[in-house]
Amino acid sequence: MSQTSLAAPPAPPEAAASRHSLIEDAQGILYGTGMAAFGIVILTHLGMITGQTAGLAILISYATGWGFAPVFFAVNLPFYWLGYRRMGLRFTVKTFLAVGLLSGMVAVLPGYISFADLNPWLGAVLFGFVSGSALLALFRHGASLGGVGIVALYLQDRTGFRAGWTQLIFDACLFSVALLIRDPITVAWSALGALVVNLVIALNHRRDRYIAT
Amino acid sequence: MATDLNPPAFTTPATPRYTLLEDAQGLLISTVQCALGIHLLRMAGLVTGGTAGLALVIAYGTGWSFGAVFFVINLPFYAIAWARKGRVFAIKSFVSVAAVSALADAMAPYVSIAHIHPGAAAVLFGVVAGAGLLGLFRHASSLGGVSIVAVIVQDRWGIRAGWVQLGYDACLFIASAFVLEPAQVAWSLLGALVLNGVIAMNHRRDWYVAA
Repeated sequence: MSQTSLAAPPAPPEAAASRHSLIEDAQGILYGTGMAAFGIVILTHLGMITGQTAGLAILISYATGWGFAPVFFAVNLPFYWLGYRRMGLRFTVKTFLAVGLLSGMVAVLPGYISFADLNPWLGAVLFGFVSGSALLALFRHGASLGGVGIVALYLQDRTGFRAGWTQLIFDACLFSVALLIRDPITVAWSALGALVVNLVIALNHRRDRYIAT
Repeated sequence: MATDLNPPAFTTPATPRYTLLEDAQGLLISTVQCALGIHLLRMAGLVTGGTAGLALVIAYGTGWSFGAVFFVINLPFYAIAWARKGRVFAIKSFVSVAAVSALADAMAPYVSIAHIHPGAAAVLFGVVAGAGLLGLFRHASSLGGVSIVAVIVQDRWGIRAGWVQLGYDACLFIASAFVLEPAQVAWSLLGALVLNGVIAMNHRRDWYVAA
C-alpha cells in the first residue's frame, strides 16, 4: 500500500474517481444484461408487464405473439440517434450492446430455465430486485436499456416539460393498454414490480457513492 | 491495478454514511438475491463455495434443510467478526445470514422450477448471488464465515476478498467431488467462478465509497 497517499491531504472525489477499463465495463454490462434477462424471464412467465421500452416490447409481444427479443431490439432502434446526439458515442454504443445482449439472452434463456409455479407477488418483487440491480450495474457502467429517458430529457430541454412527467405518462399509457389485454390483478402486480425497480434505483443510484465512471 | 486499492484514503470523516433505512433496503435486496441464487443452485443439485456451499453439501447428504444448517454453521464466526470488524458488522452479518437461511427455505414452495439446465443454474446463481454479496459487502455486512475472513483479509492486506474465497472453495470442491456427480461438480465450479469473478472485479472500495 502506498504511504504517500496517507500523508497527502485527502483528494477531492473528482480527482480520486477512477475510470472503468474496457474489461471492467464489459463484465459490468454482461452481468447487468444477464440479470435483466432473468428478470424478463420471471416477468413474462407471470404474464406481467413493466415500464419503459422493455414494457412496450412486452406489451407488443403479448398482443401479437411475436417474441420479446426481436420486438425489444426493434423498438429501441429509433432512440440511438437521439442518444448519440444527447449522451455521446460511448453511452450510445454501450446501450446498443446492452439492448442487443438482453434481446439475445431473453431469446435463449427460456430454453434453459422454466418455472412450474411462481407466486405472482413474490415474482413481482424478485423481478424488481433483480432488474433494479441490473439497471444499477448498467447505469454505473455508463449504459442503459433504451430510449424513453433520453426522449424525456430531450423534451425537457426543448419545451421545459419535466422529464419525470414524460416517463410517468409513458408508463401510465403502457399500464392502461395492459388493462385491455391482461386481467386487473396481473396489472396490479405488474405495478408493484415496476414500483420495486424504481425504488431500488431511486435509493441506490448515487453518483456521490459509486464514483467510478 | 491492485495498487489502486487503498482503503485508508477513503475512510476519512468525509466518507458518506448510510442511513438506517438505506442499510435496511440494501440488506433486504441483497439477502433476497442471495436466497434466490441458492434456491436456483439447489434446484439443479449444485454446490458452491463459502459456508453456503458447506451447508448445501451437508443438506444434500443428510436431508436436513439448507436454512437450518447454514444458520448453525455460521454461529462460531460472529465472535471473530465482533472482535475484528466490530459490533455493527457482526450484527449485520448475523441478520443477513438469518435472513438468507429463512428466505431460501421459505421461497422454495413459492418459486418452483419446472426445468433448469445446470449451466443456467450455475451462471444465474453466480450473477444474482454475486450481486447480492456485493450489496452486502457495500453495506458493511457479509454472509458469515468465509466471507468475514475474506473481507478482513482485504481490509488488512489488500488481497481481494474474491481471491481468498477462491482458495477455500478449491478445498470444498475437492471434498464435494466425493458426493456429487462429476458433471455437477463441474457446473458448480462454473457458478463459483462467476460468483467470485463478480466480487473480485467489482468489490472495490475506491469505486464505491459509502460505508
